[in-house]
Amino acid sequence: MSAAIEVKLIGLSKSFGEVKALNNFSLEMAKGELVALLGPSGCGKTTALRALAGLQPLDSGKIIVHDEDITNLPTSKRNMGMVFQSYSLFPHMSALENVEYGLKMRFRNFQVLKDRKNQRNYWT
Amino acid sequence: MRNFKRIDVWRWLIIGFVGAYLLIPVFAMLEFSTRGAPGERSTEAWTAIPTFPKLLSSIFSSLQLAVVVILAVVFILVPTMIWIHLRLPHLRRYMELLCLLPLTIPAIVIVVGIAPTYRALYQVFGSSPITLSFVYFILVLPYSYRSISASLFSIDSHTLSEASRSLGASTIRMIAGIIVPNIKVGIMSGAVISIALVLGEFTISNLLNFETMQVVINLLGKRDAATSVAVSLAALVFAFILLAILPTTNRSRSSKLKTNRKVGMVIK
Repeated sequence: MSAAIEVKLIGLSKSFGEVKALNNFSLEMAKGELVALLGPSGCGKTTALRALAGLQPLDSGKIIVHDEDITNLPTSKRNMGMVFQSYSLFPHMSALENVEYGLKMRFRNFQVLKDRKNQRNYWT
Repeated sequence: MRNFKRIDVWRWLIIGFVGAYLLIPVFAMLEFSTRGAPGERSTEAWTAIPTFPKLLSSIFSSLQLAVVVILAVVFILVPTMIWIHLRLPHLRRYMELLCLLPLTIPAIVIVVGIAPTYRALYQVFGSSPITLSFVYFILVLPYSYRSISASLFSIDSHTLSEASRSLGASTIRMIAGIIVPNIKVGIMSGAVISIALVLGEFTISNLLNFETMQVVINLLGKRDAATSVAVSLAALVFAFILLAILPTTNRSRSSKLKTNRKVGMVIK
């Protein structure tokens, strides 16, 4: 029996002026499945990932995660991580603060913040 | 080697010339304001400052104005600029044009244009000099815009904002927690220039009949020249101190970044 589909990209389209980055792109991903998007430069891999993360508004199409339509959900509410191609550490923060940032945003009562001293010893 | 020495001599000559050009008037002001009986120094002009109640209230008004203008820059201009930079980049050039416009309009034209508005403002807010903050905010726009814009272009604001949003930060937390700390130096230098401009502005406040520091100093100059020069010098020194604080904050930031880089290397 195949695993349930967790992420569905249905007919995603996005154009940048004359250039069509995504043209009716569809993909289904099951839970625990490892998916790699391969293709030449400029074929729309990054655009698809950015759309999934909510960083790229789409011209048309739907993104379904856990049977919920998240196409118009703000990035901050998608609970989805993306590792950026370019180096994107927050330059005004220490290494520990960079690591903590996502946790602080997602979990307001994050336990690590209470035991910050111990965490600091752990990381350094 | 000889070339280096020649450059060094020229450098010191230029520094000396510019230094003398800027400092001689300041020392002349100090000399004039401390002039007593022939051959003697006196602090009378300086100690007389608190005895002019109008002067103190005008200094207080000007400082209040500076604070209000800075708050307007921080809470109106900075978020607008960040929003336009990140979300509406095609509006950047119009924003720039709009912000630089006050530079090209002479103060007298601004006053003539703005006077009817101030008549209406008078009905709503009364005659408090704080109402000048509306026009001062417009006056400081070119300087604040330039320094904030330079800071925004010096960081990879798009990647940083996307990284923070994907980590769950709302737009407000992204602006306040990620972008603003990274353009702090630009905001600070914009704020210092704004303070200097607000404390030194005379034409508009005089023409609109508001008693700000420069207007009162001008009035005082007709009655007690030494005290008016003493107040002007104090205002200058205040602005110098602010300008001196700015590089210090910049240095503390860069030293923190160096530490970050070291930590980053350990993790790698």
